[in-house]
Amino acid sequence: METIDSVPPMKDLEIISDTNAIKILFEETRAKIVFNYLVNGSMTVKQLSDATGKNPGTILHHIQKLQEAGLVVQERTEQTPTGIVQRYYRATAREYRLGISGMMEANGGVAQFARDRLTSTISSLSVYGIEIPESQMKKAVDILRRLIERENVVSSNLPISNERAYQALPPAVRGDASRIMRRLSLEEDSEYQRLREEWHGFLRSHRKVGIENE
Amino acid sequence: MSNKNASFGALVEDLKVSFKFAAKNIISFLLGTIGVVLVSVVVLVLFMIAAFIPMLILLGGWEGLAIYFMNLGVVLEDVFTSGSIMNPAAFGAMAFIIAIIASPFFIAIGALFGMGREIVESEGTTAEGVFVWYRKEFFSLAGTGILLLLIVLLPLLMLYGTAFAIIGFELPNILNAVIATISGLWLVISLGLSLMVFPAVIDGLSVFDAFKESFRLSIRHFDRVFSLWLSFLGMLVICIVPPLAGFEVLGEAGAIVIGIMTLPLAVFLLLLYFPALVIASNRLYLIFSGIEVTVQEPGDPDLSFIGGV
Repeated sequence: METIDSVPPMKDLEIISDTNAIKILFEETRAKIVFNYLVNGSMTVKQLSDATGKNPGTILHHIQKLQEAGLVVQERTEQTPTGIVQRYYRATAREYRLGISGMMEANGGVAQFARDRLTSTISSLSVYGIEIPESQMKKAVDILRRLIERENVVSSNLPISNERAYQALPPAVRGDASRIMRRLSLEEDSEYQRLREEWHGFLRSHRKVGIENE
Repeated sequence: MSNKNASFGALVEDLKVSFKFAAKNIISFLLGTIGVVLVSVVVLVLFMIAAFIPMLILLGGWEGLAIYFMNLGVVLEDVFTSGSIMNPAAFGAMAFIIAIIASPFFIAIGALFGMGREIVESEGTTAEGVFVWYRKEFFSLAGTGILLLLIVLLPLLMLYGTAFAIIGFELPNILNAVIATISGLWLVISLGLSLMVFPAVIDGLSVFDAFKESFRLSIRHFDRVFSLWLSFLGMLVICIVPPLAGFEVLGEAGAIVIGIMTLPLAVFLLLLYFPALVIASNRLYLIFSGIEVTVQEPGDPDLSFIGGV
């Protein structure tokens, strides 16, 4: 009999850098399955079908694609007293971030999406009084991209001294502990600190209105 | 005890659940079967048209096509009458034609296994769901059907072909009985080992991986798989033998009685027996390929206190 050890443990944070995996997640139903449901717990095809309003066959097809991309795993199979055999699936991580480098290297509109998303995020800072002119946008995108990349690298490589005890923690406690340690690791990473200073300096230099938070 | 182990109780439970679920979904399965057969006929016609038009052009019109079919007839006659069944070219041509004609129906059977999967996981299905499987697993199911046909029939063709080539078409009774027994055993074993091939394809495995997985699971859980498979075969024999024996005993005079007897059996086979077999094989596949874990007690609510500290 297989034991719980045969299922890969759920990570707290996973950076998706594989371009194929990124493309797979660009399908609306698949993104919904992962980000709305399976990061929060395991579900059966039937439950996902009911939740999304899609046919079970369609859901299973999407699950198969997500499994191939390494984003979803089969967690367990249970039999109910009535004879139904339910197979539960869950995401491989509680939180995902799309690796910005992977997106920039992808084709099929993904790279353009990533650029547009960064650009619109930076432009939206104007609501906080930070006006970045068009001529400075490329530089802003570049600094922010490097900062995000560094944060992803540091946050996704937290050393865990006791993996078994870590996996045995209640999910909420594990998530909180993970967030504390992520923050500490970022504070200790000199490269991240340098990039953050550069980014904050850039933002300060473009602050137009008299907002003085620091 | 693991729910994968074999026992008489497990066999009874497997049969009971399969027939119960088949009975519950009788209308969906019937409508799905009719729909998928109709679609298969349409696909077959499209296949034929797709093959026929280029042939018409390549063979220089109707006259060339007529000559081609006459030649094909000669080849087929050669296969069936001159003992040259081992002729690779003739056999290849035959296999190709059979594969083309049978492919849409293999997909149909496979799509019904998709319905079976839905029933096993949720106790219910919809007739239109079968078309999702038909469309999404079109090539995998066709390939599975063709490979299954080859695995089951090729050894039999080789066995009979060798016997015919050495002895001729008139086989001695003893040899005939021996070959028939070996063939029967091969059919039972090969189909038993392949019982979970379609469920594995529905689960997303490639054609070759599905065969490997079905063989692996069937060998590993030989007792449970073959006790179920033999039970279904036994039921089939019970359904088929009485009408045949009746016809043998009563002759044409009993044709009406036998006809009346056959009708409910045919209905049973189509509406309950086949869906139950589909459901049972899907259920076994899900149980055997699944990961058993002890369900953990629910803990505290999943509330987070920590932001960006």
